Amino acid sequence: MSHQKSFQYADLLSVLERVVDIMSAPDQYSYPSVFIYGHRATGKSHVVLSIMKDLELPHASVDCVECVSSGLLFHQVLSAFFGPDAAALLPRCPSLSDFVRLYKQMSSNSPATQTRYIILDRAERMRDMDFSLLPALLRLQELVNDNVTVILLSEIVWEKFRPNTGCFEPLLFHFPDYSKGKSLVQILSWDHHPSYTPELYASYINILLGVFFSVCRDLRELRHLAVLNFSKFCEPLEKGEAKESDIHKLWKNIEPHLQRAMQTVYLREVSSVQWEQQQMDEKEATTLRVLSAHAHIELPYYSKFLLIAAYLASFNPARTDRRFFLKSHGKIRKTNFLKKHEKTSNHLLGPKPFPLDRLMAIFYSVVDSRVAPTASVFSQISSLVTLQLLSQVGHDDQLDSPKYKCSVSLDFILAISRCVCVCVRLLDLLALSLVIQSQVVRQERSLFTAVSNLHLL
Amino acid sequence: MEMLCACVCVCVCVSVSLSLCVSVCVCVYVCVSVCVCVCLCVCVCLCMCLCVCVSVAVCVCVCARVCVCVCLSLSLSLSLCVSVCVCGCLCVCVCVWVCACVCVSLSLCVCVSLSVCVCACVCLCLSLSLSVSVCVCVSLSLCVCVCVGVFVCLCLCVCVGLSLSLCVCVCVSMCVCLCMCLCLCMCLCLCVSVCVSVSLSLSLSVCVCVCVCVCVSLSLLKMSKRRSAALTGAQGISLAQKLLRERLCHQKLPDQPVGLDSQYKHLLELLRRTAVHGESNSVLIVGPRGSGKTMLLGCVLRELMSLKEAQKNVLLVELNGLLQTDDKIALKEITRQLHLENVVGDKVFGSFAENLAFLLEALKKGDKSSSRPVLFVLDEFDLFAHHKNQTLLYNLLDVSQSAQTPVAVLGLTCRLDVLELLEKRVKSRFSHRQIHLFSSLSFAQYVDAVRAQLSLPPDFPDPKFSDDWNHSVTKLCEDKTVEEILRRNFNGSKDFRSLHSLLFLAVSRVSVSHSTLREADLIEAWRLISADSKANVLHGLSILELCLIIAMKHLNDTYDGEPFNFQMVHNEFKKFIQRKSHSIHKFEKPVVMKAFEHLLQLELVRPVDSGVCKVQREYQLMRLMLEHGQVMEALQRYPQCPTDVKQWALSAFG
Repeated sequence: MSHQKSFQYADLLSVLERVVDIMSAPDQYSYPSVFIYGHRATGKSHVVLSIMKDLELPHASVDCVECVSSGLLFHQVLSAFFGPDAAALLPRCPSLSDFVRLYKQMSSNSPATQTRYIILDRAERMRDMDFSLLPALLRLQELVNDNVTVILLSEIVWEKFRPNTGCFEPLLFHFPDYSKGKSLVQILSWDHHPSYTPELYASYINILLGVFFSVCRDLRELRHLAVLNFSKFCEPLEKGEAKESDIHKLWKNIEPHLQRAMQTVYLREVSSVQWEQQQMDEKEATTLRVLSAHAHIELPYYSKFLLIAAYLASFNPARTDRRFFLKSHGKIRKTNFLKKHEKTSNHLLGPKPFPLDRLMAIFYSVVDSRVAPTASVFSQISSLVTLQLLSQVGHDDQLDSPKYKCSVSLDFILAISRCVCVCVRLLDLLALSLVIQSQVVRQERSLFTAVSNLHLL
Repeated sequence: MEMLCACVCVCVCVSVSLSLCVSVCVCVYVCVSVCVCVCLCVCVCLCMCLCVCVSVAVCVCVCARVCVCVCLSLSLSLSLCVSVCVCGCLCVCVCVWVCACVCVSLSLCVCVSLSVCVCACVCLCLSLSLSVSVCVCVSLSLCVCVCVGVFVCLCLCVCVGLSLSLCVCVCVSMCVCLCMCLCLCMCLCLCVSVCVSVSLSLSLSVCVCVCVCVCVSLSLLKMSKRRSAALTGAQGISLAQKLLRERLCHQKLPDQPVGLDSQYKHLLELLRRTAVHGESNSVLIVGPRGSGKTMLLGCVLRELMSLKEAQKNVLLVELNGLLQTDDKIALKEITRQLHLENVVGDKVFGSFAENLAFLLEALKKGDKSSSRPVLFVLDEFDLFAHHKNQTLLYNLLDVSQSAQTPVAVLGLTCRLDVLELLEKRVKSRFSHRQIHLFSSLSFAQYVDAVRAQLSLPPDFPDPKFSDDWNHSVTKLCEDKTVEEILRRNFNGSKDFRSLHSLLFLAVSRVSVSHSTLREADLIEAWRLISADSKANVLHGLSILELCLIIAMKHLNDTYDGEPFNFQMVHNEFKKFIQRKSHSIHKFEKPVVMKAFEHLLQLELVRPVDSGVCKVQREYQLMRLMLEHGQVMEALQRYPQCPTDVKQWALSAFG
């Protein structure tokens, strides 16, 4: 946050008091390690760093994401405390032992007059590093015998950090989140547009929060969205269609736009540049484009059928194949047709693996024209595997009867089948197979209407 | 003054008479003392030397005395008549001292209470008597005059009251006088009684001096105390905080470990045998985290190093399993701590054992019996057992088994099953000596320990502040709510480390505005310590994420804790939206997925088997990392929670 935060929030204030209490006596010993946790964008690192700056305490701030190896971490800490010359003394692949030895040597030359602080941002990454790094840093004060405190900042609770055999327990502090409304509106209103009144911006923020607040409470994300959509909000004002007081009119204008933003920008399906580009386009021609990445994939003709066949094979029990894909399937007893475990939908449990033979059988019955089992068809299967639309189960060296799984969603299959919907029977089959499933999917209804329309034709 | 004059007159008379008789005596023994004089002068010289040796800080008076002695010896050695004169002057001096003693005793009788007056009297008497003596001994040499002047100075000094230097001076003068007395005894047996009187008078004067100096020092002390009591409140608090913080954070070693007496004795005896008698030993100290293993070892080592024979002989090597993560690093560290880098140099060793043997060989002084004992301290002992082939442990324990260098291997660990980790060959070389640290404190002892931890020591510079503080601490420990907090902490764990973090938080709240530890501080600290972190995280989730958590809770209830996937959760959530919800809108599946992934990132949900990338995200099996109670409590605390969501969470079937 570039803004100076005014600390007028009661619970944040109480936490701050505690933290400052601990840091307020720099010439005295402090607790060896402190763990600060809280949600994203609640100001953990900002607050800690500004305390450091204001009290002018010696500190080393390290972001653990940057530290791909522990050596980088040691290097940053040593150069922050004792200058780059000290860090240069580290060997090429420094172990923790080297670090502690060097630190001891340096601190005996220049003992700490004030408590030294090592601030580790995003400390959850440290769990992936050397197993002894975290427990050793937690008791660094004891190991180097210097007045040093390690502050860990993280989103994740402390319980997830504790190693198997335990370690030194740090002091825990929780940074409170922004509870509804007031504080969040206040913070977001700080960056209002200079050419509009703050009141207008505040009402805009209220509308924005009305849409996004139930989904997202990340301040950074909300600020990003607020900045992106504000020009759209102001459009009627610029055109002179509405005045600043017509909040309702403005709301009607922006609301569907924000809903669309939630499905696209919020999900990162389009970048913010694309989103702005699209807004510009809309001004010229108000066409609504589907921006989902799924709609754009282009596959060979047989590949599409193969994929549909794979989907059907994965999500339907094998016992139902006769019924769906044979023209004269004979009489089927309704009772106990499906076993109990087959009744729970595969749409809940996920795709089941199937052998290649079954895939080919369904494929032949789905495709209307006769297809010879040529190498080109089989090569398309392997290219689907490379595209990760199918996935091979078991070992790769299993040549005689490989097993596959379909790994695409229903939406994707529906989009594909829409492209090849010349075949009525196929849609019928798809619909039928889906009706069997106990799950009620929204798309089914539209599918049904599509099928009935085709029948009418 | 009349009395004084009278006594002075008496003194004069006595001294005159005494000097007369002594001179007569001397005349009688003139011929005898011709040879004795030589001895006397030699003796005096010796005395001089002695004086010089004894008095380190030789004061002016001592110099004066030396001068006197020199003069005496010179005069004695020069001629017989001179020696007679000197004898006379000596006698006069003796008389003067006697007078002084009499005067002092008299003045003491007269005014006991005021030492200054006594000093003044002493000085007066002395000066008077001296002047008298000067009058009497007209024929005395110049050096004697100087001596008298110096005496006057000395007396004045006594009056001024430079106590310490004076004491020394007086002592020195006393010994000088004693030496002189001895000389006189050697030459003149008659003077014995006089000597006694001299010594008596001297002791009396010393007493007076001591009294004076005690008075002065007392007054000085009082002054300094008043100055320290004038410390401001802020200084007192910062001093107290410094002391307590050092105690609570820095793990400063206590004077005596609490409740670990038998273990302490056992360990000390073991290490003493290694350090003094050269026995090899190995021992494990086992105890839960924070139970005081390192503290116990630190106390034992402190005591051991205070032994004279151990101090210069024993070598200490400290290794930590967290730092020395493999044997190569450990060996390098051992070399460094034994200061053998130069000895090793660029040598190449065939094996680990060879290298270690070389190191230990280098420590030998020559013969086997006198090689220096080495204490190996292995912190986090269990981690060393994970090293490849346990080479380090094997070699160290092997050395401790065979009678080579005296070596003690001390392992510190929190794992009770640590012996199971050792290989058979390593285990068989270990002595199987274990010291267990399990706290057996009762609650009353625990509260006492809390009080001791918080109290300020008696040598705190501001006694008033420390009294107030200690009083408030005692009162605090008797408080009902505080006792309840301590009991809960005690029931959680008996170790001191968790207690320290609680007390540290409380102590850090003390400031100038409230200078004592209050009940509210401890309650606030307890609130911070005991807060449920997961509930805190749940408080900051969005409504959608909270709904997903509730859906997962229902799935857990219906399927008896079986793992679930996102599709099931979404299904459950959709059922809720369709049937019961009024306040929550419908969300697209990707939006719900994003919320779910946020929960995954916060690790409130965990994949059953991580690293399986072949399964689609929706179908990856998950487990909820929250308890039923935690979810319900979070729901109660959630700000502006919609009623229908609450109802849904409370209903038995999704």
